[in-house]
Amino acid sequence: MTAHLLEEVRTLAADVLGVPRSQVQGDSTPEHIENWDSIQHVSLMIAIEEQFGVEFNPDEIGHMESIGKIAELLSGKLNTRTD
Amino acid sequence: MNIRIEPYAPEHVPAVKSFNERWETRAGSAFRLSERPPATPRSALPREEYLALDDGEVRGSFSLKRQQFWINGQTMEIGNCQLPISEGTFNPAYANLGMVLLRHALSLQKRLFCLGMGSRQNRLPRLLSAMGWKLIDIPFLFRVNHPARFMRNIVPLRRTLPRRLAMDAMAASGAGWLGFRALQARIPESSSVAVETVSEFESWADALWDRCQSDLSLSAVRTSSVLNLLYADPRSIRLKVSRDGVVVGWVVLRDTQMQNHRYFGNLRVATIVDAMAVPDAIPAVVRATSRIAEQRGVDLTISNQGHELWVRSLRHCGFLSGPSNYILAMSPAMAALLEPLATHQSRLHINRGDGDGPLDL
Repeated sequence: MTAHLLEEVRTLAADVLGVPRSQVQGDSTPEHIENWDSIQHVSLMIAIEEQFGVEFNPDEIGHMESIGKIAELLSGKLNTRTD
Repeated sequence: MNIRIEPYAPEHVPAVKSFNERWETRAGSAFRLSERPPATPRSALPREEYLALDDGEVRGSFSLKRQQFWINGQTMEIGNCQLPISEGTFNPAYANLGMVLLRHALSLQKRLFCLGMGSRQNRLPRLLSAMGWKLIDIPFLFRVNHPARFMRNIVPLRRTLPRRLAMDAMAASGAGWLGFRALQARIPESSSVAVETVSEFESWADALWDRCQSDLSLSAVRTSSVLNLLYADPRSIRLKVSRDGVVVGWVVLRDTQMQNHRYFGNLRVATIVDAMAVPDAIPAVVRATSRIAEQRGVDLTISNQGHELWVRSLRHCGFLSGPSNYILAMSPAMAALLEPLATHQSRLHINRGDGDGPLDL
């Protein structure tokens, strides 16, 4: 996973969740960010899917527990696509 | 977290009980997942039940009912996703689970719908909307037969003390009776159709389905074999409607004495659960059904109907429109079959017979 990708996910998450970017770190989870409920999680996933042109399957979404994990799974997905 | 979605099996029962305890304590809801291993009752269409498991603990659930539908000129399987619930409702660690459940349901059947769900402000309709599902309110109509009893029992209109006092005063003074008399048209006289109570649906229902389906943009296949599965219960009153000796419609009616119902208090309520009729007979079928409900002595007759001809006929019969808590949400793949939706929306044959049926009525 590139640092650049993590930064992009942080920016997107801050925008979707309506919180300052500084509040969204790699280890941030829904337990740390009050606005991050199940509906905002869907909004975040859809925003990422649209921005990066990918679609996550249920297994992948099930592992997306933090911003860092989301960026990691997204990175794997993008790498698979370019292989 | 390592979420796995598995069919509900007997060995999951202890974990389901734990989930129910957490759900009751932390979500504050009386809803409970069934603590008996699922079995398909003979009277219902098959329903698959799934659990979301994380290290052996149940964290969520949904059910899937597969059914043949007529949709924009084709017959195909459509899935009805029922009661998707997630621990994410009260535990932010599972905020991702609602989407996992719905994406999993979509992987089983991409043409999927949810029905009911209450207000659009509720979590599930908002979540579905965020996932790009199309939401449509299915109109709710009601006709008050006994205004005084209606005003003394209708829960949503009696939530505050001043309202209760006002409703009681209107009930006692006769003002309510006068009000409903003014608001509700009388049921027009009609002797153009003959109505017969039947014990089951037979080939006449199949012939009727063949005649009706081309007028509908969306409807569950309503052949006799399906209808006999859906309405085998003794509470369903099955009415066959004929005109000049030819079957032109049928209705499934329920007549229920409510007891401390969350909306209807202790009213006796007739529900037009399901119905089918050739278009030019719909007004007569509605008139005949409304009169039967009135003659049975119910306080209130209600119906949810998606098709505009049924809505118009109910209104013509004095039914009033109420706030609908019955929402049809269609997955993108299902909604795509009805594009352009504006053209097809008026012919969606969706009512209380669809989804998980006339629960609570």
